[in-house]
Amino acid sequence: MTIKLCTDTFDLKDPGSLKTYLDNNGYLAWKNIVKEQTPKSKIIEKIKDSGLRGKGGAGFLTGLKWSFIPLMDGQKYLVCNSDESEPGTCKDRDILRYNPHAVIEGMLIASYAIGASVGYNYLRGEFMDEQWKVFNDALSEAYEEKLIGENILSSNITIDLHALIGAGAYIVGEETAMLESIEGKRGMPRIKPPFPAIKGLYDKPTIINNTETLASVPKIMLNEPGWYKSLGVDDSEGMKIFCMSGHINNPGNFEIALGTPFSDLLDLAGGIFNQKNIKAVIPGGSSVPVVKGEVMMKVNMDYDSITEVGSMLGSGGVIVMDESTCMVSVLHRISRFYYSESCGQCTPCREGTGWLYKILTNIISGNGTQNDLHQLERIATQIEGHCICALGDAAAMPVRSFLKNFWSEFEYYVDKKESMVS
Amino acid sequence: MKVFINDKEYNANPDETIIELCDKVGIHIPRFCYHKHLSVVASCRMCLVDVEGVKYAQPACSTPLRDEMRVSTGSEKTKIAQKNSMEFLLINHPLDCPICDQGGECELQDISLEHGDDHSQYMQFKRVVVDKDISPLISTDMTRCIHCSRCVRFGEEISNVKELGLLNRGEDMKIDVFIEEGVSSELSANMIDLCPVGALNNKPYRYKARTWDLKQICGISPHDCIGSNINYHIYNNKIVRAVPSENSEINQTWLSDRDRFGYEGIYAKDRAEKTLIKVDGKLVEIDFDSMSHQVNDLISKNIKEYGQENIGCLISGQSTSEEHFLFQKIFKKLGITNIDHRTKESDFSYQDSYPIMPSLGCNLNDLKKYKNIILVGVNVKTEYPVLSIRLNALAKNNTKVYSFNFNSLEENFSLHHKQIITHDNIDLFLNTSNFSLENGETLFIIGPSVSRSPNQSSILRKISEFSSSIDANIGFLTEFCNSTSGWLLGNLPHRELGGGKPRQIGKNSYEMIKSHLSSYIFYNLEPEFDFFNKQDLEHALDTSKCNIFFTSYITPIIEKYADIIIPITTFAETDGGYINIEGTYQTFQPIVQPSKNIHVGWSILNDILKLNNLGDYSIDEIRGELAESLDGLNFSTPVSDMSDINSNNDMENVIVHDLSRETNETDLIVRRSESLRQVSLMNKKINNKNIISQSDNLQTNVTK
Repeated sequence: MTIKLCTDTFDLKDPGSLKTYLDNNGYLAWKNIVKEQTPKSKIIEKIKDSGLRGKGGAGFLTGLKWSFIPLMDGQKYLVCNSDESEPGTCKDRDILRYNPHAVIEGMLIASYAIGASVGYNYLRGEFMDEQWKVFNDALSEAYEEKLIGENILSSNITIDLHALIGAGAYIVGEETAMLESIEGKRGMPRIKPPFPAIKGLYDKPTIINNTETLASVPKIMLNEPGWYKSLGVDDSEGMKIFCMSGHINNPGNFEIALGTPFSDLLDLAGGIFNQKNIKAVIPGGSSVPVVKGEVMMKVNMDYDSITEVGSMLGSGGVIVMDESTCMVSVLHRISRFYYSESCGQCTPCREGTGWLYKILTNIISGNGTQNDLHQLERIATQIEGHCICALGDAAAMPVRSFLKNFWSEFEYYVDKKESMVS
Repeated sequence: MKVFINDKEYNANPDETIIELCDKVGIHIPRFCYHKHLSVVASCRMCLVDVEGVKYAQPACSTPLRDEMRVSTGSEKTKIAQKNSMEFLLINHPLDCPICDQGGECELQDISLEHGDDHSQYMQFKRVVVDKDISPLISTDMTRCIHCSRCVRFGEEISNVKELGLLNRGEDMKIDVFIEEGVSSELSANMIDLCPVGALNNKPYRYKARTWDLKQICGISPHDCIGSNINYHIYNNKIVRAVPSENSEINQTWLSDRDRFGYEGIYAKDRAEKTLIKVDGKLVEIDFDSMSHQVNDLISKNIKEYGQENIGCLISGQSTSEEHFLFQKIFKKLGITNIDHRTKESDFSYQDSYPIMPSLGCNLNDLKKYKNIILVGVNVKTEYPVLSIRLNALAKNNTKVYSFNFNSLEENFSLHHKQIITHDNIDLFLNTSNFSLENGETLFIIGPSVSRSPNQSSILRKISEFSSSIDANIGFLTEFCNSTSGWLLGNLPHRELGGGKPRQIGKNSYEMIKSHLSSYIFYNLEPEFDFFNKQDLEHALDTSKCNIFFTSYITPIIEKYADIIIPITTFAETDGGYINIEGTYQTFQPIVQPSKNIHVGWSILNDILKLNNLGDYSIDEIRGELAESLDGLNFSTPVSDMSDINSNNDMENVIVHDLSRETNETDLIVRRSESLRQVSLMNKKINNKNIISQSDNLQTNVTK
């Protein structure tokens, strides 16, 4: 039987309801903690030992992050980052839709562990119609069952959880921009340090975790120590949902153990559409460097292996492209995204993303020159590492990797004023 | 903490950033968004510097120094990073320097020259932003904006009036007014100084001169008692603009709009530029050189005909200390006791208990020692805008500010308690059952509305009693920029220079007007606005036989009643000095030359003194004597006891009415500034619109 962590209720009847969740050992971990008044340090230790890494993109060790929270008394906050906006990523939207209680339970455990009495789940604006409703319904159900709120299950524990909805800005997915947005300000990333664990929401210590990360927490707490670790490989412990999209027969979310070969994942997703050859893969959402298809076929889906081929696991948004794809057009589209999503705060990103997009538009319209390609390379290098947040890097990395891997295709486009593949 | 900058060892304080240390030790790091008085946003990326052991260059403004940190501000990595930031900043910046007023004093221009490349690789279209007319004081060319957000942060953090904000995102981000009303706060023009490019510029100065043709002379603000330092810029013997002169003790790097544009008043149409004397009911021009003789003859004649006790001498609190010194010298030596500078007041029973000079009781920088600051009868936002910056900083930093005023005007800092003094609560307004004080030192600041009140004495006594009961200190804010000199130098009926008692006590300004004297001498006063009651004054002038006006402006009343008009210099055309509310005597030199028929104020007074054989002073001698009389006076000891004030009025008979004054109508020069008049007009329009829209809402509510 394949193990499912965050997706176990996905195929059940009435997946988002409290009943379904309770039938699947839901809230058991939380009830145990409340009953036993488990010491906070013990929970953090267990998460640390499990090797759980943040599933939002950066892959930072969750237990380590929690341990940064100052021990002293005072208001602390937990924020769940459901502002899933990375192109190619669609895992959180399904977790919120089909397994909202796992997120709630994860948020409760995390809040308890870090000593936060208030938690916010920040949903992206586009989740307004479905996930927002489902999650709020789930919150009400849990409140009714006294799983959240004042004196949870007649204990002395009080934790309130709230759902918030964004207004549709990609940049608010950046953790400090999210804090600004929750505070009612413009969604613009803050300067770090200080990090949110020291000075976060309303200047109070705050932990921000991704939806999938928090949804994984209950199962880890419920199982024996070492169970989660045993699922994956060294340094990439446990499971990860990969969002398969692109030229494949069966796109969707697939939760697999880390370290699974990419070829197996591709098979799960039904293989390449129309039996064409694979050309390129963006393995972790549009902001990570692109990898050539033939390289990707030999890679395992874990943090280290993907880093070795010059890319990143990121958010798990795997975009598969077959041989008919024009890489110039893909890059043009990606650049347009970052151009329109830059918050405009710091200079390299505000000015640089626009410049990249304008040059690529020039190339697409047949007015590009060889010099433009060198300019792209140069501008991307100038942006990288010089911005307040990672959006600048996110805009620069695709440009550099596309040029590096498919230089000849770009040259062809510039010379012939048409795509190599059409 | 030991750090190395460019391989040289420095001692750094914990929490100090790279840029702070470099600024302190004089190592230049280019910057746009960083400003020492504003929060750090690290957004322009111009201050990127090479930090050893870090892969990418780091912003100097937001990177704290660590022990043993090695920073290089001139390495290849730093140079490249800064050059790259410069390139990004310039791609959308129009290169219209030849028609931009900022040209020559533009931070972008300077830094581009030093750190940028000599040509651009950018071949695409540039961004264009549509302009808006946001203020009569600030011209906008928002296409030039480099989004440093200094102006936005100024509104959020310093003036606490959020007028400009960031709209949209990415390349479409722009600075704009987000409520479509325009920028009109009392400190708005500081954004001109903060703007590192030509996006926000000085509108009245627009296209008048190039910066490199200007001459700069420092002056002192003649519009409020804070004494802000101002650099006046002169082109062809005309002041074309004013900018703050940094003084960390007083105005820091800020200036109120009133101080910045008030100078326009010296070029008013009604400026007195001819020496006029009344002959057969008509004013005729007389020879410039015979002026002092004519005035002196007239004064002597008046003394002879009407007697000293029937002559009243009034001087404005806006005149320089030197003029104050000579004014009282002449008339007291001539035996006249009716001398006063408190023309706006009507209740003087407090005067014997009053301190030698109104002062704040501490330096502006020491205000932070107070846990409670209680404002009585003052709206700091409109009357002392520069002080409001200090109070805003204090209010954010655990000082509680309380306001008791005769009107409901808003302040731009947070008030812990606010109460409007009305007839019903005047006896109770200092009742601690209504508000609670923090533990710690308390300072009362008594504003000019109290001195304008017909029950000043009762209120002062009340405050004094209360302050003794809680062991608080009392400080003052005065009507004019130099009322302090009026007090200290003895332009008073009941005190001599330095505070001594005279042999005979004369009439105060109100009594002088009410008792219809035979002759009046006015120095630098505008009859229409500078008196407690204009009608009373007109009656007095109607019956008096001889009125001598030393004035910079010919107003209708002056024209009607003057027997002689002596045109005198304003603050801008004379040597002089003001004693600010801290007790600091700040002197200045002439900024421009007066036109040929205008007399230098102190010099014509000195001429009269000379003609009467009462002395002869040079400006330095006056200042010497002034300094002597100031010597040994300790203004930092605040007043705490005035409870022996004999008040004729009991609290029950107190008359309370709105004693506020418009920001831009505080003195005769400001009233004549065209730009500031435009701001007042704009504010009135906004207020009317708000009132209309409020009444609209009311109506719709009713119909619902």
